[in-house]
Order: sequence, then C-alpha cells, then structure tokens
Amino acid sequence: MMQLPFFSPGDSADIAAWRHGQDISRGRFAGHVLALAEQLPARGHILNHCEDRYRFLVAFVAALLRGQVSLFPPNKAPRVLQQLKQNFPDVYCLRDEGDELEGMENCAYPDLPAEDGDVTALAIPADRIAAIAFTSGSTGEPRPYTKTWGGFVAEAEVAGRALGLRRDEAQHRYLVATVPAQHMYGLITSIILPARFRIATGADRPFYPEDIRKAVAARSTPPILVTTPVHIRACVREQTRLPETEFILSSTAPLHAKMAADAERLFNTRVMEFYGSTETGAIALRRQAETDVWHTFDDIQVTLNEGSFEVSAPYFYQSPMVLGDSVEVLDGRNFKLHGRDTELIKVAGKRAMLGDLNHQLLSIEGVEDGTFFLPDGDESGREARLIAFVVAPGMSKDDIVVALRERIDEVFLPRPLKMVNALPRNATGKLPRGNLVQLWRQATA
Amino acid sequence: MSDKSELETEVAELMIESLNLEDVAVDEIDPEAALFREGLGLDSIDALELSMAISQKYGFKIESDSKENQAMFASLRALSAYIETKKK
Repeated sequence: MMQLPFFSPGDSADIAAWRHGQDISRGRFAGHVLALAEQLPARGHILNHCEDRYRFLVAFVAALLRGQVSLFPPNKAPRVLQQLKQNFPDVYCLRDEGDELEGMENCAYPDLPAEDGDVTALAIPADRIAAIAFTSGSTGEPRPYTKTWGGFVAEAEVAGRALGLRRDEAQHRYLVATVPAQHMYGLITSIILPARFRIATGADRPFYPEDIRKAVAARSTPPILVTTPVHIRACVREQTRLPETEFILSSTAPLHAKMAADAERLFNTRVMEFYGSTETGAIALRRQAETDVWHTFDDIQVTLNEGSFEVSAPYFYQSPMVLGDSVEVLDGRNFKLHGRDTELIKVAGKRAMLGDLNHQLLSIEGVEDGTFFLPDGDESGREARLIAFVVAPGMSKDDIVVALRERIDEVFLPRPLKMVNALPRNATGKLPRGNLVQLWRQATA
Repeated sequence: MSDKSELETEVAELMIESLNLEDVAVDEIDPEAALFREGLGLDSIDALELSMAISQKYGFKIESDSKENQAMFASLRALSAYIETKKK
C-alpha cells in the first residue's frame, strides 16, 4: 500500500509547530515523534489525552507509526470510558498535565531528547486506520466511525483548498486554535491541515477573549484563528481588540449571519465557517458576508434521498453517509442548512421544524442567541406549548414577540418567552435537549 | 456554612444571573465549595460566560495563562478575592 508522508513536500527546517514562543522545525518534531514511538506501550488502541497540542501532535503521529488506533470518545464521562474499555480492552491513556482518567491505564507523556530526527521516516500507509471517532448517539450507546490516515489527508487537502490555502506556500503561516485537538474539527484543522499546508500549529489553547488576543498577538505574522461561535460571541461582546488575523474559521454550530458580520467588521478579517460532523468530517464552507449557501469541498457530493441528507466522498470509509440535519439541497455541491434540530413538532395540529423556527428567531435584529423548546407534556394532559429561550441584551420580551409574530404562525409563538443571559450550550457549542429541560425546570421552579 | 462578605454575596448574585441558575439561592452557595465539577457543576462554557459578566461589571479582563487565574474559579471565596485585587 502507498505510504503517505505526514508532511506535504518541504524541508526539515520548515516550521511544524509553535510552543512557548518558540518555533519547532519538522526535523526536531521528527526527533520527538520517533523517540516517543519507541516508548509507547505495545497496544492496539490509545486515548490521546494530552492537553498541550504539540504533545498531542507528537503522540498522534507516534501512535500512527506504531499502528495504534487513536480513540476519540464523545466525552470523558466515567460511563463512557467504561464502555470504551469494554469494547477496546487494550486501550491506554497517554496524558500530560490533565487529570488521570478513571478506570484507565494512565501513562505519562515522557521527557523526550531535544534531537532532530529523519522527517522521511514520518510516512504512514494510506489505508491504515488512524482513528475511531464516536458520536454520543441518541440511544445512549456511542457509535463508532472509522478514519483512515489517507482519509484524513484527503479531507485536510480539500478543506485547505476550499480555504484558498496552497501546499507550496513560500512563507509558513501560524495557526491559533481555541478548540481541543480531541474534537474532529480540532483534529482536522489544528493537527492535519497544518501538516499539509506548511502551517505551524500552536501548542497553546487560548480560552478567554483576552487569552485569544494575546495568542494572536504573539505570532510574528497574522495567524489563522480556528474557533467556535461561543468564543466569537465572547470576543464580540467584550469588543476584544484582536490583532490582525489571516482569517477566522468557525465550526461546531452555525454562526448567525449578524454575529458573522459583527465579527468581520470588528476584527477586520474574513469569517469562514466549516460544516461537518463526526461521521463525515468537514465537508463544506461558507462565508456569511457573501452567502448563506454552503459550498462543498472538491470531491464531495450532497443529495437528498427520500428526505435523507446524503454525503459522498471518494475518501470516506463508508460512502454515502447519512446525516440527520434538515437541509435544502440546491445542487450536488451546494446546500442550505435549516438547523440542526430536525425535530418535527406539532402544536394545535400544525407542524413546524424546530430548526426553521430557530432560524426565524435568530434572524431578528438584536437577538444574539436563542432557541425554541417543546417541553414534555405534564400530567394534566394539557398540550405543551412552545417555549423560547432568548439572549438579546437591550431588547424586551414584547419587542421579540412582535418581531416573531411577523415571522411565524401564532400557534408557534412562545408561551412563555424567557430572556436568558446565555443558552446552556455544551463544550462544543451544541444544545443537548437535556440541558434545555434542566433550564426549563430552573425557570419554572 | 460560613458567612459571606458583601462582595461574595454580590459575586454570587452575578453568577446566578449570568448562568441562569435561577433555582439556586445566594444562601445555598457555600463560599468554600468548588464552583466547577463537584460543587455547582459548571462547565467551561460557563467559565466563559462568567468571565464576560465579571469583566463587564468590574472592568478588567480575565485570562487563563497565569497560575493565580487557574485557581480563581476554585470557589466563590477565591473568585471574590481575585476580583477584589483586580477591580477598577
């Protein structure tokens, strides 16, 4: 089978990463990887728990060279880890400063000699299984999705081309990421894309707006900022004086058009978004300043097959993949998103898609974030009415209800509409129903 | 449960308001208890929300790159003490 180098063609003096203010060359990186690969325990599966992104990167490649499959569970809850251990009894956890994981064999990231290594040794068979990523699964049991090394490289290359990056860039770029490498979006954008487009990924993971500002300012040239709608909203709200970036890339949840426009104006840069899923990886790009239509990467085709959103790519482990999102497919390469909540709801005999209602709510000028929510019916048997949680500093409930009345059927007007300071989004920006149920209980307690 | 200072009460109110903890009363927050994981079970997105509310109210920006900041969300007491040293 064809060997696929970790890096795109280049020189061993090229910069692979940036850590604690220092550039790290491909040669020094190879030295670290080859040294670590010799020390990893002889196992088939690894849980790479390193929080320092550089160490994650070294361990990810070392495991690849050894043929160890990296496992990415949806979270680190004890029950999830227990299940993982049951299904993959030989899994071990490699960790640095983070907590030891309960019920796992924990290995500490070792000190590695500061010596250069042979970059050409960093080549991996394209069909080697690199990772298994899990979705949380609506029924409780996480569902596994297999990723090959060749599939990761193909995804990073079409994603990079969609962003306008070139493999033969004369000058290396820097990348700052607020997302963990253990998330599929973080893995492709902060680990694999950089290796294929001469980008030096940052070991740091800035979190607060002030951290992000400093991390961007610390690079000698304007970096690419890889982040999420949650962080963008925080930076916009704090009016963070973000230094120049090449562009901002956002994913995990769709960015509302107004937030994208505010960020572009405030930070004087382009704001691009990736659409993707654990199942498919990133598959499409849009820049809301220009259009709300998602355009798929090269090689990726989308279609609606009897109402199911199907995505195909020559490099998927399984193709086509079916995604649960509600979309309008314009043609094989272009689609619009109707929202991630595909739940069809019924009020007073009328049907609506939650995603559509949320879209209407978010299109109101002054609404920063918000969602409709249909609680479970209570004992009295009274039909449940929709509730809305809305983040809109400076607006009154009446303003919003008036604006909603113009957009949606009366029966879908929220009863009540609750003004909140934030929605209970999880670490990846999503809104699990359980969090909304809890918020509703708190609101009515 | 130990008594709260004036600032601690104020910060507790800010926390309840900014994180939608409407079912939690100020009296119920133990000033010494962990805010994250065990205590109130807040997550990292809450830390981001809380940081926005704090910077808006007290006029300084929160960062996570120094040791003292790592400890800042240890408890309501630690957070209040931190705000005391930084507020403008």
